[in-house]
Amino acid sequence: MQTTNLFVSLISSALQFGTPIILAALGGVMCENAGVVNIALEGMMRMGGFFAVLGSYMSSKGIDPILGSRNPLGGNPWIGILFGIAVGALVGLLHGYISISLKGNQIISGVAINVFALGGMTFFLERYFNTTGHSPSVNSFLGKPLIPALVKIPVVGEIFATMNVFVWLAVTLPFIIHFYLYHTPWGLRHRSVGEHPKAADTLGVNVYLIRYLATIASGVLAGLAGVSMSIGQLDLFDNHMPAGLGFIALAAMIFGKWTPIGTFLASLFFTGATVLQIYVQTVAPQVLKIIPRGFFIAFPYILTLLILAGFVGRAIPPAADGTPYEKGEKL
Amino acid sequence: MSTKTLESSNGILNWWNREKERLSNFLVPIIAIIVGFLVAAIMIAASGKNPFAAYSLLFRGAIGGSFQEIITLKVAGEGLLKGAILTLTGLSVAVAFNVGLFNIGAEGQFIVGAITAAYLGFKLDISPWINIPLILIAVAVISGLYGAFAGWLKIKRGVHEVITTIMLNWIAVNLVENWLVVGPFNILRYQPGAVLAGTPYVKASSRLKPFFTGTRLNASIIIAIIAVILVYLLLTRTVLGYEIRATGKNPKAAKYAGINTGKAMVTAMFISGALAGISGACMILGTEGRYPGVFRPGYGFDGITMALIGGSGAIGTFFAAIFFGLVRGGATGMQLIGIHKTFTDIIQGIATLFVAGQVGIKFLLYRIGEKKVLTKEVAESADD
Repeated sequence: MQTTNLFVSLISSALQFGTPIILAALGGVMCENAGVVNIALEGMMRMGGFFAVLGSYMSSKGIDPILGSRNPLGGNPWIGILFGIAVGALVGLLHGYISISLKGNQIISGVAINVFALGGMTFFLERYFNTTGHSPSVNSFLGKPLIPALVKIPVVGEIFATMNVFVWLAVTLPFIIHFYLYHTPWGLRHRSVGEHPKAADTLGVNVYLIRYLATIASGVLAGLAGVSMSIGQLDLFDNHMPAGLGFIALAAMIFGKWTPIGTFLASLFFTGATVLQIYVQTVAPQVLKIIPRGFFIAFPYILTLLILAGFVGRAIPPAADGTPYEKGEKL
Repeated sequence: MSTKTLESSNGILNWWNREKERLSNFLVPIIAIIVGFLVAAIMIAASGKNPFAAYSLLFRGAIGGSFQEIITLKVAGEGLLKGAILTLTGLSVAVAFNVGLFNIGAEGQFIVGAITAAYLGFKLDISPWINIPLILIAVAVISGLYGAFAGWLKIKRGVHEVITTIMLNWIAVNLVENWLVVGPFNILRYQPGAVLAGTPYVKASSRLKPFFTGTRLNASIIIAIIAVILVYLLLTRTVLGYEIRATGKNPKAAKYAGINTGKAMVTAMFISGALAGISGACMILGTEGRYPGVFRPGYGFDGITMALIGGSGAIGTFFAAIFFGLVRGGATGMQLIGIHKTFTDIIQGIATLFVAGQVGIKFLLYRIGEKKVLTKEVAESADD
C-alpha cells in the first residue's frame, strides 16, 4: 500500500511537471515534421503564459473593494486560455511568414522570437501590473481537476486530483497527433512536406499551406504549454517563466526522434528523473552530505545526455527540416 | 533621349546595381536595427510614455551627456565593457555557425570559464603579467574542452548539438552554483565568518583594473579586440579556417574534397567554447571580482543574437556587440521614466527578426534601381 501510494504520487507529480514540456515538444513535432525548425518554443511559451494571465485578469468585471481596482481573481481562466492560444497562433504565423513566405533563416527567426519574448513580456508586465517580478494571482486552473468524479477512485484517484485541463491535453494529444500523422491522409501530406516537399508539390499537395498550418499549430501548442505553467501549475505569471523549459522541450523532441509518442515518453523520462531526484532529496536528506545538491539537480540532464550518447544513437530529423521550399526550384 | 544622358543620370544607380549585393550585407543589419528602434518606439508610445524622451535618455546613457563624459568614457565605458563581453560570446557562437553547428551552449561554457577564472584568481598570486595570461589560457582550455565535448558527441555518437549544448548548459549551471560555489570553492572555506555568498575575491594581481577612475572599462575590451582579429584571421586566412567554412557550407562536399570534417567540427567547437569561457573570465576578473552566489547574466544567449545580426563574421559580430553593448549601457537610464532595462531585448529581438527575414529587405533593396535600368534597357534597344 505504501509503495503504491508513493508510485501514484510520483506519477502524479511527473505528469504535472511534464505537462508544459510535453505540450511544447508536441508543438516542435508538428512544426518540424512539416519541415520548419522551431527554436522559438521558449519564447512562444513565455508569451502564452503571460497573455493567459492577462486574459484571465482582463475578463474580470468586478471591482475589488480593498484594492479599489479590477479584482484580479474575478476573471474567467478560459478567456486566459483563449488569449494564450491566440498569441501562440499569431507568433506561429509570424514565424511561418518569415520561414515560408520570406524563406528566411528559421533559426534566426526563432532566436529573434525568444529574445523579443524576453524583453517584451517584461515590458508588458510593467505596463499592466506595474512590476517586473510577478503578476498578481488571477483566477486559474490550479487545483481544479477536469473530471472531479475520478478523484474518488481509490489509490489512483490522487493522480486525477492534480489533472487539470492541461494535464489531460498532455496525456491525450500525443496519441491524437500520432494518429493524425501516421493514420490519416492529411498526416501523410504533412510528413511528406517535411521529407520531400518537391515530390509532395508534384503530387498536388499545397506545401505552403501545410507548412503554415503546422507552424500555427506549433505556436498554439507552445502557447498552451506556457498557459499550463502560468494558470495551470500556478495562478500568476512569473518573469522567470518558462525558465528554459522550451529548450528542454526542444531536447525532448529530438530525444523522441521527432515522433509524438517518442517525444511524450522522452518528456516523461526527463520529468520522471526530476521528480525522482527531488523525492530522494526530501526523503533522505542525509544523502546530501555525501552527494552535493548540485549533482541531484543536474541528474536529469546528465542522465539524458548519457542515454542519448549511449543508447539512442543518431537523431535524424525530417529530411527537409529547416530548408525553405521554393516552387519550381531544381533539386 | 540619348543613351548618354540616361547613363549619366543613372550613374549612382548603376553603381548601386553593381554593388548592391555586397552592400546589402551591410545594409540589412542596419535597416533591421533601425526598424527595431522604430517598432520599440511605437510600443513606448502605446504605453503612454514619450519615446523621444526615452531614446534621448538611452543615448545620453550610452555615450554620455557632456563632452567631458564622452572623452573620459565615463558613461560609454559601461557600454563598451558590455560590448566586449558580448563580442566574445558572439564570436563564440559565430565560429560554431561557420562550421555549421548551432552552439546554444555558450552560456554553459561562459559559466565554466567564469568559475575557472574565479578559482584560479584567488589561488594564483604572482604578478598581473603572469597571472592574467595564465588564467586566460587555463580558462580557454577548460571551456574549450567543454565545448569540444559537444562537438565530439556530435561526430562520434551522432547526438544533435542543440540537445547536448542545452543539457551541458544546465549541467554547468547546477554543478557550479549548487556544488562548487556553495561547497569546495565557497568563501566560508577560506574566510570563516564572511557574510558574502559565492567564492572569495580574486587576488589583486588577477584583477583587470579600470583604465580611468570613474569608469569600469578595463582590459576586457582589448582582449575582445584581439579575439576579433584572431578569429577574423583564422576564418579568412588559414587552412583550418577554410576547412571550418567548407565544412559549414557543405559537409559532404568538404569530406569529398579530403577535409576531415569531424576534426574541423571539434576544433571549431573547442575555439567556440574557449571564446565563451574567456568572456566569462573577463567578467569575473573585471567587474565582478569573484563568482557571486547566483550568476546568470545571459551573455551566452545574447551571443547568439550578436552572431546572427553580425552575419557570423568576426567584424560584423564585433560591431553588433559594441552597438548593443552601448545601447544596453544606456538603457539603464531609461528606468528614470519607468522603462525596464530589458527593453533593449525588444529592439534586439525585432532587429533579429528582420535579419531573419532579410530576403524580404534584400528583395526591396534590389528593387531600387531595377525599374530605371529597365527603362535604360528599353532606351538602348530603341537606339538599336
